[in-house]
Amino acid sequence: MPASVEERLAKVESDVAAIVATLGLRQAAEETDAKAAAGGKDVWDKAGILIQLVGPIVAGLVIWYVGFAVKDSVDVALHRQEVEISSATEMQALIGKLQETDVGEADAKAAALALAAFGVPAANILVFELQTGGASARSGAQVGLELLVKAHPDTVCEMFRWLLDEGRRYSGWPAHLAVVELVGRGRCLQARTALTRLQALLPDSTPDTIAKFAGQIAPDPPPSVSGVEDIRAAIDVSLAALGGTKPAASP
Amino acid sequence: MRGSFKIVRPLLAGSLLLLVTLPGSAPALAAMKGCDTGGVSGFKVFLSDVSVTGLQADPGKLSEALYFVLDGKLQSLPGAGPGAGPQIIRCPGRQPNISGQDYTASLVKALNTDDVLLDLWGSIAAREGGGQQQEDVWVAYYLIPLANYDPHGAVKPLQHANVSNPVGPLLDPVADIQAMLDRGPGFDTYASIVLGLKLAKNREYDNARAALCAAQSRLAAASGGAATPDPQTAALSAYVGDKLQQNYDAAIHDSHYKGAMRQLGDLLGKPNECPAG
Repeated sequence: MPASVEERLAKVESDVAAIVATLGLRQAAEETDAKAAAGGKDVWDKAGILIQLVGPIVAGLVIWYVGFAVKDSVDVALHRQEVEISSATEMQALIGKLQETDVGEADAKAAALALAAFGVPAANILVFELQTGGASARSGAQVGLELLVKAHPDTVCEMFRWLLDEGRRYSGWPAHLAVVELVGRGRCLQARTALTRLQALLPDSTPDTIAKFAGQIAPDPPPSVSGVEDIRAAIDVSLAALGGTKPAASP
Repeated sequence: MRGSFKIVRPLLAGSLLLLVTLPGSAPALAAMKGCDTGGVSGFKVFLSDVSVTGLQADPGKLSEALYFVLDGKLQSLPGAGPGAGPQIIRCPGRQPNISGQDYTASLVKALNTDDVLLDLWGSIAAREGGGQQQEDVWVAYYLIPLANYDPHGAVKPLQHANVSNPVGPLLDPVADIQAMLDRGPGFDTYASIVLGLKLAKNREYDNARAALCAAQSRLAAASGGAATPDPQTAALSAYVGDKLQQNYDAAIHDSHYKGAMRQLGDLLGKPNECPAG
């Protein structure tokens, strides 16, 4: 005698589940067979296989490259820092030489030329010497700046333009005279307008106008009539060098 | 390439630094030292060192004598104004070469900018002469404004006077230096000329005229009224005459000038010439 109704229902359910499972496996097998019949694995399968094969090699290469690049950039940065520190030390020695109170002209020129070899960072130092140095140091600084303006015309000419236009109060008349000459020798076309503006500011020989001019530049040393005339003559020469006008004949 | 240049450039500068600082790399002839003006304004005269070669002598004694004589002469310069004579700046360790080669155009220009009128120095050296040792003493001076404004003119910017003393060290350095500096056209003449040049450039026409006239007066005295003065005195007289004329012309053409040459031009007769005596 068959089992109870409940037992029979349970058996039917388990049979149905077995049939469903069998049908699913068959469908999957049929799909696989269909793919194989259609020409093998699809793109994703191939990509997966390729990634499995090449992935570790690529990852190794990437890790190697990143490591190399990071190490190289760190080495370069460290080396640059070493060079900068070394440069600063050497520049310090040269600046010290240039600022000795009894430095001779020959030594000052040698120190200034060596400073100029460090490039644009030396320009500010040499301009500072133009303002504060003695006769020999100023003469040396001018030679160094002439070398610099020819090697780095854009940056150094812009510095000269700024000094004549906006930085007048930072330097006295001897430094102005030197910068005016350097603008001409360095063919600083971008400082041409600054030269004409300074030319317009120059006073005549009356004490009132000299005093007024003295208030527009650094007061040390106070401008003299001959100093102003020297600047005027230098502006004429530099403007002529930049093209446009001929230098006025000296009296 | 650019990165490597950044590294090479400091190396190049470092090499230059070595050349600058190594004592062994200095040329055989020591370069002249500089002199700190110490922020002194107005006209200045550099007093460099006195060198001693080949004998026992005290350079300080000659140096002090030089200072004494120099100070007296500078304070009495006409045209500088009372109490406004050039200041003496001592330059220890500075010893220009007697050839004048240390005075490059750039240095002369910078010194002129600093209102330096003269650079003066001396030397005492042993010399064999007539079977006995003699002492050569000389004083040299370099005329900065003259070298700046007339570098190729008839008047040489380097002047020197010397004395050969067979009896040993200078017995009376002040008197001997005084005598040396007064010989020929004399130190006073040259000092007046360079002062006159600077004053004229500063458009102080009357003071410039006073200084140049003092030079002319001394030149007249030096020639002793001779009809044909020696070539050096004649060249100096012609130079001073030219400068007086230029000073006068500049004053008359300067609309701001209201001084004696314009005011009294007719009364003075020839205002571009100096009054007699």
